[in-house]
Amino acid sequence: MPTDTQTLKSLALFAELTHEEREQLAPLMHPMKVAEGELLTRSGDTANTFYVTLSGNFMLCFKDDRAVTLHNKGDIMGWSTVVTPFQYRGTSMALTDGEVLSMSGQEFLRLIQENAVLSEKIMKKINTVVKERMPLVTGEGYDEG
Amino acid sequence: MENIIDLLTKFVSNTGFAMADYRYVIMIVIGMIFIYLGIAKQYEPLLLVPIGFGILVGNIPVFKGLGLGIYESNSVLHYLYFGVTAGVYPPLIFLGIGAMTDFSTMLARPLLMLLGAAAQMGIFLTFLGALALGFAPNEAGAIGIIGGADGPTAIFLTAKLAPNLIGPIAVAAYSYMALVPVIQPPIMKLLTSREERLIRMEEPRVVSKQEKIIFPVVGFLLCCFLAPAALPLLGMLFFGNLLKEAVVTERLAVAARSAIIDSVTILLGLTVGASTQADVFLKYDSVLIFVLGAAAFGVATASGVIFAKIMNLFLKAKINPLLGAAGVSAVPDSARVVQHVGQQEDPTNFLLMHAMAPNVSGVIGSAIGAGILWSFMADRM
Repeated sequence: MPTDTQTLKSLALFAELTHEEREQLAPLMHPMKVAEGELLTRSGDTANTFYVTLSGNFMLCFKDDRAVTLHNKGDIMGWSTVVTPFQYRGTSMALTDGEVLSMSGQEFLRLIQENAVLSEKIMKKINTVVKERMPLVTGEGYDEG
Repeated sequence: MENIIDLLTKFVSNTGFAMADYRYVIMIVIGMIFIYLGIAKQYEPLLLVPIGFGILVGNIPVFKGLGLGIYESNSVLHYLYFGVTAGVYPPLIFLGIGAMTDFSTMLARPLLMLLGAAAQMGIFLTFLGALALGFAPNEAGAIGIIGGADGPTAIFLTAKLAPNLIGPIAVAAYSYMALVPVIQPPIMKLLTSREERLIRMEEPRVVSKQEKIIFPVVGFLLCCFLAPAALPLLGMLFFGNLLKEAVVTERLAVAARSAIIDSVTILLGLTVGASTQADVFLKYDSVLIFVLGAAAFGVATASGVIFAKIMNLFLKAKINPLLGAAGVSAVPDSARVVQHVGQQEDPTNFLLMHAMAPNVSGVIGSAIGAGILWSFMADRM
């Protein structure tokens, strides 16, 4: 069951898209309930799905016990799905029951073909998240405090 | 007692275990590798999984004459394979591709179409290479098309020019398409300097709805007058695109880009895989085809990149030469490779949208290349 354009509009990731773009994107994003303790991504696995949080709390764990918790609607997990080498860099787990939107890497590939402008807008947004999270992934410039 | 032993002996000798030899084992392992790459590594899973399972299906040793094997005229697999040998499936896949592809990036900057054309050099240089290695002209033409990096086009042309080579050519074409992220980056980096990889592209202009609707009609007429033999592929591609852009035919476009293309992909992948029966597939020629296919892919990538560099000699606003690599028609994988190689140098440089222009031109270019080869070879067969 795909999501709707109103839900997409409420997320920062998709807020700048036009209504037509959100209409095209909606069938590709699927709402999914997650239970406390459920793993969404596992570090080292092939990255095949990325997630946008709708509700609930989540934790992302990286190497050397680096971790971050996500509490806000619109946070992203599994961005390695659109970035080479398409392997999850971190493990993400639900700390509470919640809901996410999921999109498969295959669907994203198809979106690139169907609307390159829209997929580039999404990739640019994801790229800002990648830049923020990179210190956690690599440990370089990571402030433990 | 003797009867029971007789029956048991007969039963054992009738099993695949008794009829198999090492060639079947090799092919079954290859099939499993395809399935593994498709599922675990997610290399073109929609293609590699059906082809891989098809290889398993085609390499169960069976009695000749029972109507089981794909090359037996009364078998179910043979009827399904008809879609490949008669060239039915590839145009249907092109219909779906047309119905899902957005050509606006290409229309926004038509100059980038030249990169899609330049990458087709791989087809013609490999054609010459295959001729030099002793393949007949029709076979050389079919092998050359691997350089187009377009599976349906390769199958379509091979079915017309050298049906005996469908198995190896299709498997080579799809294998290399799946390996785009592995094959292309080293060639792209080797042929470009860091400064060139850092070039930023100008924002493309907005393409109007009218332009998008007119394009499939005008594009179809221009391309098919240029290479009439590409009509089955390009006719369906542009028709599918018209269904998409016309909006009023959205239902048909949805059918073409989902149910139709998915069903045909299953049948095409499975039967092409099954056509790789060990006794037909495991030949020295198949090895040569794989080597030539790799060369074709490499040359196609290099041609696109080099041509982009040549274009830069004459352009005021330089283009990023990495875009040339997207001229091979593996859509959208090669565009995505361009994006990632560019981003390795500058994480804030986005080339994806620009790379889609040569990428979709490559689809048209390889179909035109196939049409030209077919029309040249048809009277030599």
